Amino acid sequence: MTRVMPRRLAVLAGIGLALLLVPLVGLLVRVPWTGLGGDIAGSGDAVRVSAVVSVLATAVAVGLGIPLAWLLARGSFRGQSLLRATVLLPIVLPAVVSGVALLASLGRTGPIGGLLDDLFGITLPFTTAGAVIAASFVALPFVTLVAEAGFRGVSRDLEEVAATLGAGPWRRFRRIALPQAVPALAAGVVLGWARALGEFGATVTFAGNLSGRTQTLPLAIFFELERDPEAAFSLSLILVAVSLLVLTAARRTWSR
Amino acid sequence: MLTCRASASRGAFRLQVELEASPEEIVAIVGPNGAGKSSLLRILAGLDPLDDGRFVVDGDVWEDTASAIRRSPEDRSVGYVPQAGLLFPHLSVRDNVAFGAEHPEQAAEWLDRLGLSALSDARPSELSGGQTQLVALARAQVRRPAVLLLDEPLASVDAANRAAIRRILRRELRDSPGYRILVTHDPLEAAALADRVVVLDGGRVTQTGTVDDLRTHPRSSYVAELVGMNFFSGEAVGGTITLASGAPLVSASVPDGAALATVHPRAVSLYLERPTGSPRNVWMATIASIEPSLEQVRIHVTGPIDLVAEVTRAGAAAFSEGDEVWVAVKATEVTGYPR
Repeated sequence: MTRVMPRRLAVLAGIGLALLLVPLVGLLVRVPWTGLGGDIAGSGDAVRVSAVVSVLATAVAVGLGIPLAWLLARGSFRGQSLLRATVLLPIVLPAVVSGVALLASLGRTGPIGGLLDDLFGITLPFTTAGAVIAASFVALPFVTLVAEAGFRGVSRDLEEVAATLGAGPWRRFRRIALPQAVPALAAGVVLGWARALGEFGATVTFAGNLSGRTQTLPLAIFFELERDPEAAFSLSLILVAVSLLVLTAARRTWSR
Repeated sequence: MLTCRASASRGAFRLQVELEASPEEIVAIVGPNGAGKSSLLRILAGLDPLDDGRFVVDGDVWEDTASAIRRSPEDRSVGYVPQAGLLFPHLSVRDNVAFGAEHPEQAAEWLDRLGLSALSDARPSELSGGQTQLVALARAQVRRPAVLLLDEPLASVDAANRAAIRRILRRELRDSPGYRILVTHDPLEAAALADRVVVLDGGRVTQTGTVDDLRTHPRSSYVAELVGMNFFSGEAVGGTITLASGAPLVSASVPDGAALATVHPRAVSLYLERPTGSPRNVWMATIASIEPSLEQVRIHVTGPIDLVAEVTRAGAAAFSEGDEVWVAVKATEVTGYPR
């Protein structure tokens, strides 16, 4: 067998790996293992809020991202590339800008937020619902992007055959395209969920840092860092562990 | 009746076809690659639109550009068996067949009928080319379509199974009510499966007739090649056809005027010495190539008239490429007919 790795690439790859691993090792070293249980118990609210917000945000992002992805993958209309750019925008936007934009539109003085307040008495900023919207906003592009790639991989020929067998557009989507895109959709769900779980900037800007309502784990970690750094390390460890667990489980499912 | 006047363009390619079919016949659309065979089938299935034309099945207008009528594929009663089957890879054989069925039991009936019951739970990836084709046929037939369309049904079947699959196809096509149209590039397949052949070349119908018509009276060198005949075109006067090259070819049966003629390759004799006896057409030529096939050997000769002779393997042993030979064809073997 021939050697595939040129030495200079191997060295750079090693440095890259170190950049990723060293902080994690540092975190493991600093975690106060004896007080771990107490730190986590003390942050039960943040864990609960994070779980609720990330799961709901993923559900929203999947529910809206799959139709958007289908539109982008199969549609052919004017402004399609503009639509794609719009969908992808939150990926490159600084999260705090996303939060400011949400505040400007859905805040109580914003055009839509004001209307919601006047007509239904609904306020989104500084509520759990607001945190879900912020997390959905940043997770949606990931779900859409990955799902679109998945839908593009589904052969149109099969949808055509389904049409000759009497299947209308909905049935072709439901029975042919969707099942075949499942691996990509699963990847999209995991990525979207991970993004929602880690969301910080948009949440703190739009939903604030209200313990038990909008304070998710990342927010709790950030604010604990000043008060009680050891607690911040403990909570960070939870996020690392959960993320690793989900990624591994997802990998196992895809590669099957 | 099924009548379709179709005109459609795909880039530089233009399809311009009039097609008729009756429920009493099986029609094969035959033509070289790129002739527009599959395009025509896709138009009939409703997968591609007509630019101009009208498609009527049993009095129902399925498409009419003049009155802007166009039924989508799901609203046409078609059974479409695409090239290579295209089964749904994520569904079992049973679910593939049941996809278009009104009642799930119909799938089992059709699988049974085509001898596929044992494969009901198999995935499409586990099937051979022939099994795939039969499942695709069952999937299309389960709806009892008014129009059954098959695109190169045997192209992805390996040679060893082709005869068996062709027999089943033949039986199924015979037993199906409604219009049956298949596309193929293989004259053998057309002869085995179809009653009438429509020859498509360059997006146009160049000839239509039974396989026998095509064999005895080809109207183009493509069709002659297809049925394995030597083919000539010229002007006939008093039984002698003057070809474009100026060479004469004597036929025992040709009316005066613009004429076409065929000679079966087995009716062409080759000699190393000038033949004695009665053949009316005798000339000297050079052997351009010798091409063995299973039983016979095809020898291409060039000279005043280029043609192919088919001789036995034993007979071919006397010749080699580049040899000067005498070619003889009896006038009774030259079948002439008006152009």
